[in-house]
Amino acid sequence: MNPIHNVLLAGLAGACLISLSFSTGAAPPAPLPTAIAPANSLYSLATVWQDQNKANVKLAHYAGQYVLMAMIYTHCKDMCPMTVATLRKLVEDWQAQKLPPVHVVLVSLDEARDTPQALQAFAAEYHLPADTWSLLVGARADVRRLSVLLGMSYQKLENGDIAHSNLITLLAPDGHMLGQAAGFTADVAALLKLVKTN
Amino acid sequence: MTSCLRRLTLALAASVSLANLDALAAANDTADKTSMVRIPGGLFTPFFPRDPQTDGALPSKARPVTVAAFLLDERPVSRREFAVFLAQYPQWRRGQALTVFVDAGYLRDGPDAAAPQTVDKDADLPVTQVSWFAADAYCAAQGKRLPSTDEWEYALADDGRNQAALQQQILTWYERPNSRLSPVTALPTNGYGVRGLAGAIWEWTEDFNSLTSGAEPRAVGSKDRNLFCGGGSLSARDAQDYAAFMRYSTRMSLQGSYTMSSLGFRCALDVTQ
Repeated sequence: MNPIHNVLLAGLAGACLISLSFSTGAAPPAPLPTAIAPANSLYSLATVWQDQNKANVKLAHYAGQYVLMAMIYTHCKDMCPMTVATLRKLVEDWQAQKLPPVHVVLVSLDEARDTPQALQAFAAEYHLPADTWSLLVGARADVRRLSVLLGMSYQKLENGDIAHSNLITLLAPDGHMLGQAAGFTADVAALLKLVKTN
Repeated sequence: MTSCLRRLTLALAASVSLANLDALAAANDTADKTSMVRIPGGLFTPFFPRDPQTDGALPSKARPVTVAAFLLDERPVSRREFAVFLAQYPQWRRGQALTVFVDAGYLRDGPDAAAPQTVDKDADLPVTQVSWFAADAYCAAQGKRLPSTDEWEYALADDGRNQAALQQQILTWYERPNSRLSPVTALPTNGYGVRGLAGAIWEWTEDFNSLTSGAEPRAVGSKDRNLFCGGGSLSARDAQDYAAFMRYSTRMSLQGSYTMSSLGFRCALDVTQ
């Protein structure tokens, strides 16, 4: 074995230990699939985020359950609270219909101002329990990468607002996209239908 | 431990570790700047305004923004250069790159990773048929990044030099849909010393998805009214600038996995001093 191979193995071992040591404190999700498959899984984006409890997570952390994903920011005054309300209602309906487990992942568009503490405060204000809701911050370039992956647009405006498309994305347990809806209740009901048929 | 290791090995093999590339980039302050041009900072008027528009008000035109000085690749990334990248990062080769990051046309006409060893007469042509994710990964691997739309457009504006000739060059290119590509080193330079921003290929920018799509005005997360058609054109910097409308509309029509035979890229870098 050449030295580079040894270094790689050591790195993998280290990464393995690190991944075991981080925990959100919530119920552990189902084990990762043996590969980040299929090739259309969004969990192939291996960027690292921090959740509202300051745990380092990759998106693949949420594999094994259905995921509703949206991009918001805490200084957002109009659309984001509406999106959150829509998601809360959707989760209520989802759980009332006894569908397989769902987790909501909200990713901040505003890496400059949103911190894990700000997300924690936001979660408290909107009653978003950590066992169902994860709020993430990441580096600016990674936020852009995720927005592209989700087919969203966003742009920071001069007054501090962020113009952004208002999409809720439904991911299957292996991370591939099942569907999307504009963040309005009428469109979102279609996502529930998708879960039942997938 | 063994099964955990195996899961991770498979995961790493199958996934594209953009995070690792960024770590590389951050650690490697020795990005090759030799073929980069320093673009001095200055004021730039974006094509569409950045201020939120209030309902009912007449759309106002964009105010100038400051573009900080930055480094821009002198020329688009060539097939030869991309082939070197493919040799180092096999997960980006055609057939291995994941469908979430590239579409079916990705590198349909090469180059292969094997190309550096073989004579490829097209090696100096701009690489095209690359997705945003592939371009992003390439730039990160060089310790660089993609230029923002503002930076790219600012470089194209060339500090106001030769505007009429520039417009004509672009429009002539649009009229010849299948014009042959030229080697990157043969492309003409502008006043900054940058080659081929006009008349060669479309180029990816870091925030190509920054303008909200005209297709979903209801879904816009602020009162921003950057609708492309109709009323949106009233707020454009210059309603006569057909070439700019083409560029901005092309960008807005793209998704990150798309590839086109006429779409390539170049990289940029922050100026540290």
